[in-house]
Amino acid sequence: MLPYANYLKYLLSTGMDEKDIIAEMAELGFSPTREQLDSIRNTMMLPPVFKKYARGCQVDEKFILKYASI
Amino acid sequence: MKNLYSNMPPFNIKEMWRYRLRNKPPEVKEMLQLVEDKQARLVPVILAIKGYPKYDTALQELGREYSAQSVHLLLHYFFNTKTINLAGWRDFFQTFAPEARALLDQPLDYILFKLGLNPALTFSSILTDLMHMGYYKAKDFLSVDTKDYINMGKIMAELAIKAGEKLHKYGKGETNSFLEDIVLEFERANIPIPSVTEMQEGEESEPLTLI
Repeated sequence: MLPYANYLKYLLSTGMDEKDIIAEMAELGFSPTREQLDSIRNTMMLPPVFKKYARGCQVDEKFILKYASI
Repeated sequence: MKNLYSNMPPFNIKEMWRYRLRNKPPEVKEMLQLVEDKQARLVPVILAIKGYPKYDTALQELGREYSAQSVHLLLHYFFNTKTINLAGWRDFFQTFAPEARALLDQPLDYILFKLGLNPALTFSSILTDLMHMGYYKAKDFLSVDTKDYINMGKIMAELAIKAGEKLHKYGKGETNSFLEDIVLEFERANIPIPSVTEMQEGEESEPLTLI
């Protein structure tokens, strides 16, 4: 388990590209691998609303907040 | 939603999404500043791992303006002490921050001292540290068969023995500070101490020797 897994979950839920996540985390001194990102993504079961948000579509923000707080 | 996703691991990233969508709470912004502050960010992390109860206000004690809530968020998102045990932190810090890895094996009081926080040392804990330090240093020195090392070994052994004697004599009562211990010992000694006005001009007091 990575100590910064929760932040990775957040970045993955925003629809950010893995390459960009690795670069952003590297700037902070962390070095997650693609395999670790895939592993975390697989446990998340993200509903489609997050993908819609990432594409810039109108979404139910309350649903996102409720899901994010589970 | 709870039934549908009851088998998945907790998501628990509400603050980040609230900040993204509503620009609050402000402590998230603070936390994002703190995680970029590579000098400061590990202070509360190490203290939390070592079980220091005031880990979340330690940065404020050091003059840094990070709120306790921003420290809680830092630990939740970046350095989660609830999901990693001490062995896991040792592995993590081995490459991430070797200086933090070295601190993890030190006693909490020493870490507080190194970080610039004031540990509340008791007289007996100081004596215990001196006794242990003197003993192990003596063993190190005495293992080398040269005159200088043997002499140093004897000095350290003497320190260990004296600290042990003082600890045996004084170390039974626990107080909150070194000063309180000294006061307590004066009270126990039942020695009449003349007030300033009663001391004669030119009169000298006995030196106080602890060790």
